[in-house]
Amino acid sequence: MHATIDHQPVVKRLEEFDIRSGNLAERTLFNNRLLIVILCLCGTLLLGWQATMIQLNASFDKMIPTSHPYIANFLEHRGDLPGLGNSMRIAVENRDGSIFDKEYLDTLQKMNDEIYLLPGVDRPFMKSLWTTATRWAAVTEEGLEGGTVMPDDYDGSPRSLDQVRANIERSGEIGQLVANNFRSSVIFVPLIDHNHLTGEDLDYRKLNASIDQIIARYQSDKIRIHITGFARVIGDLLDGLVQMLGFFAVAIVIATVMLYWYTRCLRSTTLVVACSLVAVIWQFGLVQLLGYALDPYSVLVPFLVFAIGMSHGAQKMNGIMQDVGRGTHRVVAARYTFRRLFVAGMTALLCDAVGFAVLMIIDIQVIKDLAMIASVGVAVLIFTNLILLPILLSYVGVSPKAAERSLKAEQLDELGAKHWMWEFLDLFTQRRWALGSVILGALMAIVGFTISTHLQIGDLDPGAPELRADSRYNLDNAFMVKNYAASSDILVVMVKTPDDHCTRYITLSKMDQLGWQLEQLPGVESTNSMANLSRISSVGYNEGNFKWLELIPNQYVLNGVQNRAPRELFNQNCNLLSLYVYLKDHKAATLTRVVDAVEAYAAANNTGETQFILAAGSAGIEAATNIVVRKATHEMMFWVYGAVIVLCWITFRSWRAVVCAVVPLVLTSILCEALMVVFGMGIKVATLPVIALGVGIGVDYALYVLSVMLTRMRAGMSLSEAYYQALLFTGKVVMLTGVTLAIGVATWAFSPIKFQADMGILLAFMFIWNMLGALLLLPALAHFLLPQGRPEDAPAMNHEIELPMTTTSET
Amino acid sequence: MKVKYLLTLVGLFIAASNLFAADQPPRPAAALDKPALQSPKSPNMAILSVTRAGERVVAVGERGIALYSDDSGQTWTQAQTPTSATLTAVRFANDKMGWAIGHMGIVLHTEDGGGTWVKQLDGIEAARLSLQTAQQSGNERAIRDAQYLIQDGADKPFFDICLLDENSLMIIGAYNLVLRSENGGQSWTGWQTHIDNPRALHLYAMQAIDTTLFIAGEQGLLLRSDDNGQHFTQLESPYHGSWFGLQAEHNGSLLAYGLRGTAYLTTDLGNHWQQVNSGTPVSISANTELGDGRTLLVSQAGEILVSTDNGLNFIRAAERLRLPLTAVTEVPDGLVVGSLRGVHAIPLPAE
Repeated sequence: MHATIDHQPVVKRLEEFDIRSGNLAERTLFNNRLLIVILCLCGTLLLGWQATMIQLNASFDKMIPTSHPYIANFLEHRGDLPGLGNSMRIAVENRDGSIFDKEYLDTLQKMNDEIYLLPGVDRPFMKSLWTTATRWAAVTEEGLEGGTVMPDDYDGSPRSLDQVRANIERSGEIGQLVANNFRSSVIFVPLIDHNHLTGEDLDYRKLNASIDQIIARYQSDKIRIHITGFARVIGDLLDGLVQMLGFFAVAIVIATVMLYWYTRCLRSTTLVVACSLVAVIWQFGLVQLLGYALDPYSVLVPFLVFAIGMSHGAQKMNGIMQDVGRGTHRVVAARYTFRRLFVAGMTALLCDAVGFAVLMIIDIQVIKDLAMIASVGVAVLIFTNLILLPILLSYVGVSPKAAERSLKAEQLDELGAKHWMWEFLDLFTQRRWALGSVILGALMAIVGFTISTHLQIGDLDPGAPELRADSRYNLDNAFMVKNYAASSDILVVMVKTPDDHCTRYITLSKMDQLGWQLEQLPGVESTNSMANLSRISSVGYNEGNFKWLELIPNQYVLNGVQNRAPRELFNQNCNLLSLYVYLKDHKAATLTRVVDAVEAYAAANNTGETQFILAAGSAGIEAATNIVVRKATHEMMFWVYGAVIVLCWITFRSWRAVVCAVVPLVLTSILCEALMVVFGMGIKVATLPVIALGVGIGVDYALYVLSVMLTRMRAGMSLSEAYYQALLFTGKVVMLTGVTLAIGVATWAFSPIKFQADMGILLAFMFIWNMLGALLLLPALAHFLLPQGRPEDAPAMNHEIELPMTTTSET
Repeated sequence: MKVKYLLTLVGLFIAASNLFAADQPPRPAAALDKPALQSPKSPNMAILSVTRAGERVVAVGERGIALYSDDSGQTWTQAQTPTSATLTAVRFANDKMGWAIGHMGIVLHTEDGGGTWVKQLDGIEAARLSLQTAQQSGNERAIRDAQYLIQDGADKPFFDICLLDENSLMIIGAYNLVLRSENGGQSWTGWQTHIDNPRALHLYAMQAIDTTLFIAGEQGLLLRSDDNGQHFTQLESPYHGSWFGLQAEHNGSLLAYGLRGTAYLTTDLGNHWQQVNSGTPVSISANTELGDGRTLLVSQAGEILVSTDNGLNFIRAAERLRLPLTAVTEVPDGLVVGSLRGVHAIPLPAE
């Protein structure tokens, strides 16, 4: 009876089995089982040893699209743009008074000196009240006076402190280095991501540890320290990694327990989990061997590899259990399962791998790295979960009780006592329900698509969206926003001129005009540039008479301004000017508005000599990243779906089957985007990969269900019967893994790291929807698309899938 | 450590001018003929002069911004102006006819109380007119100075307007730039040869007391004309810093004020001056006389200084704005002040 279903006769004793049966791959692998196991063991030891050395770090430069013209411009002029890339702002607050306090200023000086010496600090451009670059200037009858904000003869006396106060008021640093309420001041710390002299990358964990030590030493009831900047976000994410790993562990435990509850077989459950973990170990080892490192955004990938491994492993285990339950010897059962499912599994994993690999087209190093790491992980699964797992199962088998249980369930089903769940799902192969399902799917697609058009690129919240709103970092960020005028969201427009021409009236006047135009845009707080300085300087040169406030069209006057201008505004060769645009936030819409306005202005005003180019500053870099991500989103979806469609076509050789497999995925993708809108997530470097990974994960389910269905239909079964068979054979495992993994990742919603919580919600949604798509929408589409009841018309499976089926009948 | 920049700067100016400026032909200043951008932020930008046009308040400032308010400064409308140059002063002859002047030699005129403005003059034309006058005078030095004016292009600002009668007015500015019109600004004549200002110092303020005209300027410069502006002669000045403004008291005395809170009063049309305690060490930027007879000065540090004895003594009002004030005028229910950060309506200081 069973033989007729699978063309795989029950073989109770191993000796009765023809070991020359099966295709070449099967024979090679299963006739040398011990060798394979030993090889895998060696591989695990070797790669496990490598895995222990894996690095965990992040890099500012890797987060940015280095070949985008904006970033290329920025990198080209980086040496002339102090502190406009990666920097940290450390606000030191006096809770018991103002900054005009001897004890406070002493502490600030000590901190300043310690931070100055930290590795990775771009020392010449570091700024605080205690650095000599912080100067004041004033107008008197005798002309202009100036000096360092901290007087040379500072001695902490009340007279000295009064001097400091007066100097600060004349320094223009209020709102920049000094808080508006004079209760805190900032140590501005530009960082060098990659030291070209020593070839060393900045170690963010070490840096943060050093900063934490400084905090521990100086923070008291009186002194409070607040820190913002990329380095700090990364530091907090790396610190939160332990908690993130905890949540991974919880998800793994939940998956294991669920699997055990389903199978009631300890040894096979252990093997499935173990093989999935072995895959992760191999992945770590290979990643280390290939010279990659994990960063806070790619730590998710090993978990995904584990999840995909569980899904495939459970399928293998279920297949073997069913065969063993029927009485087949465990080795034969393993081979049968390998025959039935290897190609489907392989195709699914290739889809995953390709889905991850296409992320490499995105021109941001951190995503390329992630694509590489993920592809390696999935490729590894082919060995561990499609090959090693069945072989190991062929040794240990499954617990007889569990096998018996599986058989009982099967017999019950076949006696016609269909489980209510299968009865219900079977409805979707009937016209009425199928139509309902398709219409409902279409409606959801339309609604989802409408919502998803509001999907934003980039960050939507102030501060670091990876962290919770009440996290230490975001509280520090809120402190900065509240107490300092100049936001940390700065976009810098660079103006290139010929050498020594940076003070030309015509250039400054164009710059002045652009600044004023940009100030009209919503989201722009203010601008600053050499032009602004020149406007106000003419007041200074004329005894502080405000009526001189103008960019005087007189080259003598303008050339003079240069001698007093801070280095932030122009460079040494006087051929590059910086126009600072201070933004209220770094929302994508704000950035787009500014960038578009600058582009339009540049197009109208650039000449051969003078060119307005984008972009530096945190917001400038983010604007470029957003542009790249926006473009990549479409390209990535095109290539992911392209790959999935091609692979499905190769497997099924039927466009109708491809549609059945792919349409549910598309629905999931659309709804995923809509969900991001609802949850206020934007597409950014951190979330982009998840969208692609979702497709990869979803295709597993569709392939497992559809491959069995098509085989059965080809054998002449009706759609209803074929679907029922598919449910029994692979569908229930799809349901199991879908629900299991969704529950596992749903627990991440409680993670203190908001990035993980967001990813948990997205992944849980995608696991569930892909499962529902494969179980509810797929059969409904099949009802309309796949020809039924006429075996000769049924789509032929790819030859490779057919092969094991036919060869078994010879035995 | 104190660094004296002035000499260094002068030196560098000369050096820089030799290096870079020789090859620079005079260009029309870009902002001069570019209509002011209509901006919702304009009431918050630097406003340098406010005045009354009947019931209406009119304010002008940087980037060609001209504003008017019909509710005593509560809400403002930005007028259309044909320039983006900084406007430094605005005066009205009556509730409709007014003039606004500014940088790059711009002179604007309105006939509808500040709703629309048209250009009457710019720095290029002002230089040409000055040369014409110089040539007529035959004075070689005046001709040479005027030729420099033309070479420099429109780079010099006007600072004050003085309405002599319904149709005749004078405008003064930097580097002894002075022009006069007898027909409401329709045509102008270069007037620099009528001023005794051989060092071409900047002229910052002009004030009439009956038929006597006064000009105050840079480095303590004080000038007087007793013949309706035909000849301005230098007065002996009590101070060598710069004057920023002049205030004519209704009793005929004249207050001159400027840098670092300096203020002097004359009761005999400038023959003798006495120092006045202004009550502030900060430069004074504007003045007005209130309807109740009090005199008001405002400082660059946002102080309001009040005199109840026609400028003999000033007391700092309790109200202080944390704004660098630039201008002040009285409105029915208070004051409207201009500052580097916008125009604001505030209550009158208490008696």
